[in-house]
Amino acid sequence: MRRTICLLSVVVGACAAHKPLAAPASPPAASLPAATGLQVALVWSAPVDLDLYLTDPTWETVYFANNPSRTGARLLRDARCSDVAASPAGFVELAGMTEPLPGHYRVGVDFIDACKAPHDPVSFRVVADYGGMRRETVGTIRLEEFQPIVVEFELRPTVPGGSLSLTQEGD
Amino acid sequence: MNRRPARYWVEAFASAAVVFVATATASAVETGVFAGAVHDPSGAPVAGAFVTATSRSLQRGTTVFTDAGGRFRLPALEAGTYDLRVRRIGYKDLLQSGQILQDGTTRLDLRVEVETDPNELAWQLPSSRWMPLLLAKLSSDEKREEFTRQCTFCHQQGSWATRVQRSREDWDKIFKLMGRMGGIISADLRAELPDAFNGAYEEHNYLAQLTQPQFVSPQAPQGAAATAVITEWDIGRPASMQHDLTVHPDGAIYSVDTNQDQLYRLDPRTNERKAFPIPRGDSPLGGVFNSTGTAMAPNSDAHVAPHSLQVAPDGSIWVTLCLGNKVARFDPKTEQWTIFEQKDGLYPHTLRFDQKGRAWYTLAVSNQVGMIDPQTGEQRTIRLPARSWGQEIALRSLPVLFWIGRFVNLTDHAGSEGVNFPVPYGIDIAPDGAVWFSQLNIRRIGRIDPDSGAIKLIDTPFPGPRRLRFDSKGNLWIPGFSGDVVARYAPSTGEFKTWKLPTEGVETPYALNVDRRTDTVWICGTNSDSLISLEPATERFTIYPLPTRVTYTREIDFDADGGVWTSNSNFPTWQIEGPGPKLIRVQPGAAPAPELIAAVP
Repeated sequence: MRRTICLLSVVVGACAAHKPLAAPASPPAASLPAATGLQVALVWSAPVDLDLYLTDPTWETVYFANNPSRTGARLLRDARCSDVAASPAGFVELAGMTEPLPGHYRVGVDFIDACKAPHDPVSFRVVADYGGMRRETVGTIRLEEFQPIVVEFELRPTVPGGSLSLTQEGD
Repeated sequence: MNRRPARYWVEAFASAAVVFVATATASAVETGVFAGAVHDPSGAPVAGAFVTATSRSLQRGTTVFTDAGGRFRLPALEAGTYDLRVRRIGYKDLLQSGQILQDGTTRLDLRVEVETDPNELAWQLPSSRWMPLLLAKLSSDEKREEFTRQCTFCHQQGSWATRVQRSREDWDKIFKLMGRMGGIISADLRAELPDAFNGAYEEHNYLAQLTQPQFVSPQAPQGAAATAVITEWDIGRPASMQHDLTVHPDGAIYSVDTNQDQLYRLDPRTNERKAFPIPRGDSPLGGVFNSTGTAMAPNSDAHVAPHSLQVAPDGSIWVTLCLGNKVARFDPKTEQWTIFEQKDGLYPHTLRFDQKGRAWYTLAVSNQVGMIDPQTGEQRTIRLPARSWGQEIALRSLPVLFWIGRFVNLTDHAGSEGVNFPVPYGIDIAPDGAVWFSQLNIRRIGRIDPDSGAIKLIDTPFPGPRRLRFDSKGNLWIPGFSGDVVARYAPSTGEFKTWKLPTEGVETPYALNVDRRTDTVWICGTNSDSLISLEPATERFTIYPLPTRVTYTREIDFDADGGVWTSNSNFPTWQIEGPGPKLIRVQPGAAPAPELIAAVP
């Protein structure tokens, strides 16, 4: 019934009761492992299970079911329903690569389980950190929705063979 | 946490740099030969070992087997630098990088160490040997069949990637992801699987089942397989889903990359590879399924998703675009595309041409068969019967459900009905012009009269009829994907004959093809890293082991010289050993005779 009501509401553009909360703040540095290399964090604002997908330049994706990847990417923090229920501060997933490859990265988000919470859309923020540079984006997602590309970025050498620089797609 | 053999990492990165450069082109003269012998530390010859020489610059590996005396001789190759690998289950892989091949014969005396670590021995075995451990944990034959049919159609079951211990919560999430890709399993099976996976692939269990009381290496290849040459060309990118392939009469091999919207052409004579991007039009990422959020991998770049392809009588290449819901024609001479929109029906799938040059293809989701006549421009769809009224209503409601899916996600509510949706899959044309198809999930094949549209349905005595083909005599050959069988159906008498496949463990034959010059039946050993041939006259099977672990095959075609072609289509691609997918040619009996090289004590 709830789904039917929401469907009708969406169709008439009036699903006001299910507006997502504002995008959550960036994760406080103290709540995350020490940043070395590339780190990508997904934070959200409701006790539900969102999953983070980080696809590296070899086109392999690290996520809860493929961890670690062959290139050494790791899902460092995986928040399941049992985790978000136990810790309200636990609405964070984190992936990282200690020695990231240069090239194109893609970040995806999946709202896979409402964890018995209301089926409202959820706001999220994705933050990519590398070498003191940061790229981030915000969005909302519905239950059972998979957004394969919420942000893309590049790690490029500043000079040939030199250190890498994080740039947003289109920079 | 995945336990991944160190080898996978090493080999992946040895080759990764090669794959990231653009497709290779090289035209060279084959002037050098690797020849020699393989022995164990005691000096005993090692028979049936793969000996593979891989050229990084050509992105191509060439393999032969050692004979009973441990001897081998690779065919002539281009002078250059090669990575050599000797592999035989029961021994440690021998890797020698940077071998220089010069003109003439380079002799090699190679020694392999016996593998004694039970874990490593078990991990050398193909998925087909592991999957029975899982099936043994399920409570009924019905669940075993359902698991085999639904859980193996993108990747192998029993591979390293499936043998990971996980929490029930994580397993349930994986089943949800699987459902989005079309692998929908019943609630009863879903309840049993987490414990079954974790129990089957727990170390004590698998060591007991696979290595005790004594580890036994598989038999060395027999017959024409023992002297086969196997060539593997890297193709595409690590995110490629190398689906089907077809051999063009001009000798080129065309294949499609479902995950990257590409058509590839390989010239095996020159090693030249070329990619042709398929026009996407206004198809969004995920194509017509974009609104439902299904059928999209995290590394997908698929807007139209090419799936099956065939050469038309005029030499053009026709491709079904399953997510774009279109059919495409590619002219190799002009390199131009023509796109046909599929206005009625969903998911253009497997395509074949009839004797009149018309393209027939299954529409897998909407339970239809489509037809395009290139000469007249006529497009037609034929609705196939489902098993029940419930299925009929659900199938006819699909357009409405897709519209609703733009607003509400329905994937969690697909329920178990999806398990037994018909899914028209394989298709082929009989010598009399009739169009035959299989319905994968409901144990049925059927015949369409192309003129009247009349349909005759026939139940199969085995589950999972998949990609079927006719032989020259009008017999229909059918792989039983979830039954581990191959079957012959004689339309003239209505009789089936089935054979259990000879694979050790559990086989999942995805496709077969019949070489109509000899009527030899070639079958995908999809779960065992192999191709399998069957000679109908003698009913003799021959297994051709393939050198790359996790080689998941979906299609077979033949070249004019007797070469048998397939592709490694496991998805996700990163489960494949090495850098990515491959096009594979098996040449039975083509290895040059090894020179007589005395064993070194």
